[in-house]
Amino acid sequence: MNEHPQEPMSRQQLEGLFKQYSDSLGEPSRTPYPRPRRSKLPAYAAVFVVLALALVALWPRDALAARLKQIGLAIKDAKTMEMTFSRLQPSGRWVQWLHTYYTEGMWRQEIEKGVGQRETVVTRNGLMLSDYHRLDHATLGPVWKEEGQADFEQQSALDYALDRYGQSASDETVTRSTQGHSDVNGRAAYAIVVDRSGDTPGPWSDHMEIVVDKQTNYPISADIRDVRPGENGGEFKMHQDYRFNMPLDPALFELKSDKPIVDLRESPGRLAKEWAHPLAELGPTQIRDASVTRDGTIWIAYTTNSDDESAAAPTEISIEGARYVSLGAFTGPVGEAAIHLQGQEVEVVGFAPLEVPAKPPFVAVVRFQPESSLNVPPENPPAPFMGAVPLNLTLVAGEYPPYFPLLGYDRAILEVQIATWGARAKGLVDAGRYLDAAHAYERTAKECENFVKYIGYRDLDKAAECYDKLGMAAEAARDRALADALHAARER
Amino acid sequence: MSLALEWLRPKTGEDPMAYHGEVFRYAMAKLGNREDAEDVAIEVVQALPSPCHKRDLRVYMLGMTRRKAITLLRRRRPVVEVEDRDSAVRFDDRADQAAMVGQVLAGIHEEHREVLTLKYMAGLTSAEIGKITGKRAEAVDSMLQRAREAFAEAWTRLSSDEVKP
Repeated sequence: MNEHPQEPMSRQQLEGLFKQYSDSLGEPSRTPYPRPRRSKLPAYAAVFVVLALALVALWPRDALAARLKQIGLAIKDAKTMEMTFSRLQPSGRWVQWLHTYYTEGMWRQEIEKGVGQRETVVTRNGLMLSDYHRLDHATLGPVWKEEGQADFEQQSALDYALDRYGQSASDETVTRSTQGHSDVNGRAAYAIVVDRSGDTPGPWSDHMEIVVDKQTNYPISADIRDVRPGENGGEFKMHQDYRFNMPLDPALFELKSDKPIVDLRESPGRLAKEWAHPLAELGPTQIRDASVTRDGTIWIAYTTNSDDESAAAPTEISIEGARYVSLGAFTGPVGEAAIHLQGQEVEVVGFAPLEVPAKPPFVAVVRFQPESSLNVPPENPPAPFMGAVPLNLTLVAGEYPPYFPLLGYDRAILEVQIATWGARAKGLVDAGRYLDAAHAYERTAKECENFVKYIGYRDLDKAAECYDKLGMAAEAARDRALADALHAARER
Repeated sequence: MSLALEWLRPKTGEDPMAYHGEVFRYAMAKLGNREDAEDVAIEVVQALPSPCHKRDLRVYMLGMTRRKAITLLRRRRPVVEVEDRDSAVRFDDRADQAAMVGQVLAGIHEEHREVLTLKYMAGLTSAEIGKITGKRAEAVDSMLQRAREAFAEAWTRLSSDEVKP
């Protein structure tokens, strides 16, 4: 690039300043932690081979490595795999939270992440059928994954494990050995025992005992004890059972459901018909739908050029006599699987009233700010408003607009009430209405019971803080005790 | 199952951990919040296998960081709070200068902040910045020019207020 003739600040000066700034930010205090990660897909599907891979990489010349190599080769040649994964909750209850089936590039996962998050996922031929059991529909569409995840449907279990192998802290220590083991169902077996530990971000350790069939080299089971630091840390026990080359019912891998199936590949066409006439336009931004649910929550769907940071985005709702808070943007499939309409990305934002109205409003004034203003840190000065548009609202039944399933917002549907009450609670705190805020936080915690139960402890703690401000010590103590109990049990 | 010979071969890819600090600092510049920046940095590193054979891994990771930061900021929409900045800005040592850079960056346009941090913190070329931001290299060059001017103007305004008599 050519130097500008009237450069206001020399390149060297600029580079020097940025170097100082960069240095001042320092290093992250937390480092990636060597444990399976949260994922829509089964992060724990092959802990054994993850371990095998780690050991091969770390200690490639010994006899154990040779054994692990044999195991890896055996797994690669397997025709089918079935794995169950159970976890001992801090409450003392064992929960089977994952059941995985694999054959010929097809996967089926039955996942229980929480009471409200029981989900069955079948993946084959680049398509994914997702069925959250609490929803009235299943969703079919292109496989989508979080950025950086592997195209797991094209992989063997070992390939999958390879991609799941995470980062190790530099201070990690590992010891491993093979040990004798009693026969399992009449078959000779041995055990591989591995201990890992480290001090980053705090003291952590895991101990794994993997039982392997001596003749076939297939893993039979694994027991894991995992001690992790942090707010949600503690000691966790997990157990896996593996079965290889057993017949699996082909029906397990069918992209079928007893419920109606929403095919996301048809969504752009259906939405183009339903949203053929934009309700309003501001530059490239077109308001496609404005709905209100019975609790007064307003949903604005719009399409825009997501790369155009000056494009208008709805950020505020004005209704006389009511105060609204934003729920933020809702999201569904990402990347190539994201739903587009006429080449534009579909976005949905929600706005909840601080008070649930006796009657939902029928008209709202929506105000807009540049899309770029949504992507800046909150401490920045707010961007100026670009305009305001009055919109007639369509009353819809239920808790969310009917187009949510067409956008693949399945998980978002399950979170609507948590998001709504959480935002309302924060808005009430901002308004200094601490008693109402405490009640709203308690309601948020209640809604969490339908999703992942224990995470409501944070909202109960916030409710307690609100009671503190009002001098309501008994109520604060009650909510803190409830929060502590939820957190201690860690029931999902 | 499909054959997977890769795992038996020597691992010649890069360790994403090598860019953890850089990813964190970029996230920090974008989010302005250490805890969130650390979360994003961890997510980015953990989303990738090690070793990772992806070409231009560093640029790829910065791109991931950018998208994750944008998603995070969008989820923060309800929280539009204007916090008082530390007004006790002095101009007499490196730490203060670094703090001022942060303040100036926070006050300029998001696009300007983005190209400046990618250029001068991450040390990317215009073509690499274009890959991340979806712009042509020429457009990045123009943007950089405007960004430098905006930064210099804001810098002068802030520093002269505090330093010049």
